[in-house]
Amino acid sequence: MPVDEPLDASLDSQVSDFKELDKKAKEASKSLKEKQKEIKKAQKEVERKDTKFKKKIDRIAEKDRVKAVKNFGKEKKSTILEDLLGPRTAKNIFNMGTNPVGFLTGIAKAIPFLGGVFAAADIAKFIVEELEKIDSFFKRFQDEADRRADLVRSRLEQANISSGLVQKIITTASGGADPRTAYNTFQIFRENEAELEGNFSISNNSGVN
Amino acid sequence: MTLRLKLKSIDDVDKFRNNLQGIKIQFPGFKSFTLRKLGNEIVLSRIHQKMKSAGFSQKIIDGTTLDKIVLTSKKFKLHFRSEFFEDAGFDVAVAREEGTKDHGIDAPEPTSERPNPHLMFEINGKKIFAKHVDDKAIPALFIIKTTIDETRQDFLTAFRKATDEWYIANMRGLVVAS
Repeated sequence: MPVDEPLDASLDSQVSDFKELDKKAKEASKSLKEKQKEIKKAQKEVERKDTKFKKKIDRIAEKDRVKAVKNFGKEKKSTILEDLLGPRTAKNIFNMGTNPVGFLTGIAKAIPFLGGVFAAADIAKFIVEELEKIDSFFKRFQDEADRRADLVRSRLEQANISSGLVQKIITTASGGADPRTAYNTFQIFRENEAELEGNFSISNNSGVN
Repeated sequence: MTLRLKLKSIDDVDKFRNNLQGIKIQFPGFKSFTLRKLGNEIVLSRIHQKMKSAGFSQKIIDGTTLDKIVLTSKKFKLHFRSEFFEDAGFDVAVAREEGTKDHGIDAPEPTSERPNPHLMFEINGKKIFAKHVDDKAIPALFIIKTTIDETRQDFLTAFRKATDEWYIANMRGLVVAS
């Protein structure tokens, strides 16, 4: 008989391990796909609420425009929103009016416990619920929010901007692509205030808080 | 080396499952190839070195090989074999590995073809004939056995490392070492 010495050991990985791993991955994939469906459903719900809310704002904005024309030239008073929250916070609420989903997502990110504890689907649901809660709150302030929006953008401009047809840059810097057409917005404001007010519904309210 | 799974999306989980199928199919082939390669590189080459140092003949060294590899689902076994038979049928490889006791060698019994048989030895070019010879014991070196024990840990570590690297390569970015 020749010399026959064995070297034997157990294998760390076995085919049965791979089968078990595959089974786990299959379960995880199925579970994640279900979660993804839930998230998409919740996102659609958010979008639906968002669209509904924007329509409301549009309707009120139309009313406000008529009202603004009627009251043109009368003394400018501070608004309810500005009285309550101050001009800076009021501006933030205005942002919420134009992009509620984005605004609320920002809130969700800012609240620390949400990121750690809730899954994405729960956050989306939370946004929907919060949107419903603040709907009544909005109703008190959306007139003001829309009026402020209308001061700087006509509805046609808003539509063009939102559809990406026009890029509107508001700047105080002078200059441009063609030096001959370079202008200074402050200069235009000073020299041709009446034209600006006529074309863009901008009124000089620099002295108002 | 610790392996870590990097799954960023549901697509990654599906990719992981696909890669796992490939690994399952290739695993037996990879195991036998890698075990033989590492067995030759780490264990057998060391056995050969030791045999050379101990003054073994090249014929015994050449007759020492990694023979069959037995693979089951949970274990593996590498068989290191050593044999070299003299013309008379004596296995010198076994004698060098396991040693021999003091022993005597007698000439074969007379037959009609060989009525006067003798043992013949060639020492310093001179032929010597004898009816009986006393042979001294060969010490047992157990080179194969001890070398397997010595290199066992290195071999297993190298096999684990090779297996991990193979997983990383076959998982195509979904598994990283940490």
